[in-house]
Amino acid sequence: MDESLFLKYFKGATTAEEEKSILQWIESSDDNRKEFYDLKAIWNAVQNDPERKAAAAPGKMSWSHKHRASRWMVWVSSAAACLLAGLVLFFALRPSVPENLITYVNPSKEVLEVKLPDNSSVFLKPDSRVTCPEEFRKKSRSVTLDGEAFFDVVHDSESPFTVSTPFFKVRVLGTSFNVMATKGANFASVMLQSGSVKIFQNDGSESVTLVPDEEAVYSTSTGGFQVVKANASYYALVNYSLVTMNNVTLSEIINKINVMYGVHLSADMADDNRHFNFNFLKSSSIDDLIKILEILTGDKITY
Amino acid sequence: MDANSLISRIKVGDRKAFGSLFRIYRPILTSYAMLFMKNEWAEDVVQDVFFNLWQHRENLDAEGSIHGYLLRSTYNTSINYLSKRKHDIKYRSWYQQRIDEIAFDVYDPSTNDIIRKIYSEDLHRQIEHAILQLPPKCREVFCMSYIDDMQNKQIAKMLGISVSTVENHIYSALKRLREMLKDNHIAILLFLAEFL
Repeated sequence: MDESLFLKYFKGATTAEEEKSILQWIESSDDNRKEFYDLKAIWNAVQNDPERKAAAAPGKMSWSHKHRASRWMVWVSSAAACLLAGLVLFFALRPSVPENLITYVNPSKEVLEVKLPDNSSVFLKPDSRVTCPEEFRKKSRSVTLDGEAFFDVVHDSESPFTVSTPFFKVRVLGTSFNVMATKGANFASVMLQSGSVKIFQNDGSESVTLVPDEEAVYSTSTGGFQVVKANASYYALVNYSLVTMNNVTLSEIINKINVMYGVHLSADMADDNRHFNFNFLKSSSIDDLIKILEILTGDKITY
Repeated sequence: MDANSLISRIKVGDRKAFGSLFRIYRPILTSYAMLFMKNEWAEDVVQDVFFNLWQHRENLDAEGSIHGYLLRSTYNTSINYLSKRKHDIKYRSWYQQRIDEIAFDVYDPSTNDIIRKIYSEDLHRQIEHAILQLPPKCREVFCMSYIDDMQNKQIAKMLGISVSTVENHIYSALKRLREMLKDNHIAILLFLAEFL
């Protein structure tokens, strides 16, 4: 057992494989178990001893001050930003209309589907929020996320889609992927289902590019990413009750729906060579599904 | 101010005494709750613990161990809190979930000595003393990591040693701290410190 893994585990930076070996080690004897959890308790106590942090860093602000200061900074900087924006508006010959931002919050216990102005879907987890402009500007589509959501982004090679989080930015052209990034959390992650995504640090430096069924786990303590294997379709189904189908034909979609809902849909399609990505919530009604499928494929679907 | 005399005063509705107790125990109980959950939740839990204590202040036992009572109450409140939020907890993997679940068995304050010892009123002093006992190099690295919040990479660069050496120092510091806390050396040191 490589015991330096424990530290990595305490910091939340281990991979599933490493966690597996730690668990096996813990379960192999009572002494091991005691050792691991004692070390965790001590690590946690040292880490979270508020007096120590304040006392050890004279001249540095203690946590609570820092917190207050940063809030204050936000006020100051937003006041400055407002002033600057005002000046720009005042001096510009043709003042541009400021973006109207809409924030969607999901206070319920269920997954909430939000449609963005470009018809992309965001499946929002409870207690999560996503902010987007009322209309996307040309050449860029950007939204902000705090919490966890599954994105199903409409392809547009002219206009990259960016998700900003407290920790990093995710940029795509058209894909489906999951982002978990809750303010104050110890780790965050991006899991890719189809297509490709690039993840940038908030300072703009590029960090990771994912291929489907990979997950980049971000540790807020180290600021680094670790790429692990994942099963994104399964994740979406379990966590969102979201059925995800990639690169499938209409008849494959219909077969899946027929089996899931116990119905007999059929389509009079001209050809079945076209491929689609099709995601839907398990709770969708059959009528809604038919409507969406008809719009997506342009084929008539009969019950 | 000793905790039991605070309790006698809280029993008769003394808000100031309640405030003092809160100030002493809030950081300790919050670190304890953070063994099970993230920071914001841990703070919620501790608020609940004190809210309940105040609600039921008449039933408090001024002779009993308030430390034991508060740890037990934090433990129980944590379990309830997490069971209500189990859908919001994101585990990195099934193994991590399992490791975290075992923590609940292990960290029961009535069966775990080390928990009672570390998460006590003397939390800060205990750690301070234990760190002073570490061998110099080990202590230097440990302090840089914990107190100055430096990344292992930075420490390695500053001291001209490899990152894995840094990790080894930190890990062996933790192990030594564990031995010291286990063997009660700390209690003796603290006892002596009272007379110095």
